[in-house]
Amino acid sequence: MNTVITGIHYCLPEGHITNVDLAHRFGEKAINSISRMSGIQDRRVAPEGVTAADLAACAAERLLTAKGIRREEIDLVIFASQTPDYQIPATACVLHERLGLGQDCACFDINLGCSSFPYTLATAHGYLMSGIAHTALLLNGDTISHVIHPGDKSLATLHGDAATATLMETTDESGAGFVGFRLGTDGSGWRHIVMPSSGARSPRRLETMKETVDASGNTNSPQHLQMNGAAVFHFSLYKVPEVIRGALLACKLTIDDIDLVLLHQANRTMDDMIYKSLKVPAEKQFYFLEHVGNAAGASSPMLLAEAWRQGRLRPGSLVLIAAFGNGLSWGVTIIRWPKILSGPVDAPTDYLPQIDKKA
Amino acid sequence: MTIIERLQPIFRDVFDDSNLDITGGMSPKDYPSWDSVGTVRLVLSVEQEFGIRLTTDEVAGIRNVADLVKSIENALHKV
Repeated sequence: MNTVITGIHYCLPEGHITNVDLAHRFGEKAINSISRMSGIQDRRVAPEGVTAADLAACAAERLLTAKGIRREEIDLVIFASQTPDYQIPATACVLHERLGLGQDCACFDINLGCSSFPYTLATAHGYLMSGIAHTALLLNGDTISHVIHPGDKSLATLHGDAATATLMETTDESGAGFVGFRLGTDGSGWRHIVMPSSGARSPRRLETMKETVDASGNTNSPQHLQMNGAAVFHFSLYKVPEVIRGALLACKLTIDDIDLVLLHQANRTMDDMIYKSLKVPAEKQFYFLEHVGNAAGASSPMLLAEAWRQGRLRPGSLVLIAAFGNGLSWGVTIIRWPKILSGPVDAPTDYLPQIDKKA
Repeated sequence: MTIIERLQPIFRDVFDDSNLDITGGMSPKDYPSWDSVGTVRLVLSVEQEFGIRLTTDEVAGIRNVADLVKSIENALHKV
């Protein structure tokens, strides 16, 4: 027995922030330079009042309808986000009500950023393999644009908002499903991506609203997301290839065996350099960030969903997913796609308010 | 040749600016092309030129040319 992803869908908010918009804010020269590095032309952003949970509910409704899954079949919901609706309770419980799920359903949140997808998959895999749950609904979403200072050129130019819904079930098909996971952390780097005043350690107060401007002209405050871009870039360039090599070795595989290598869509240059370091040929690469931006925790599942929509997943395909980000945290998983593969979810991806029962 | 003298051609190459003259106090504030990606490109070139590997914390602490020189010195002592 193993577990498989039987369906995945994503939802994008209606707002756009284009490079033209950002050129008005930061100057054309700066935006041209950043966009050459990032490969991002447009970012999809949620208006105030639309949360990651709203986007996740929309994706989940469309996924469950398309797959014909009855609400009472879902017995595990994991909501992975760093922009939850509330500190208390878990947003997964709020989504449980909104999606009209039955009471025999475990619901909890995972607080991880860009690395979250392999962690939600690994957690659900464990619950399903042990028989604790039978049908898992994984919701990965972030509205990171809401916690970025609009004057922070280094972050506002990269990030967009999105959410995904993933359905996981068990399978008896020989060889299909998860081949392996490799999860890891370097907690010594937690300060490199942090919202300093966002919890119990430094509660938000008047003083934490104070804005500062750094040497590169980025405006920020302790209440907004802060990132040391150079440190995170440097970490990713060395750590991600190392972890992918380790995952392949543990599974007795090489890059030659993998059909598709999916990397967290941090920025185009970083992914290009990681692909180059691993000698991944162009036909095994896939990008989805030019018109959506870096969607944080939703980035890698959205990439997988889009690869499925574009016909890049075939029966029996071996797919490697690597996600990495704040923590510093990383996760790699390798999945053998089933021989009998259903088509991608044929539904809109644009956010529709109140698609769920209790928005 | 001092470390800063060896850094001079690296800066000119990374920022594609043959007129760039660096000093220890020079920071991104003095040279707008020097953004976080510029720092990464500098570090990668430095690692190749000096045969060293900087830590993520050392990269995080680079605020000016002098910081970069100090990180290189630390890394060279470890080699």
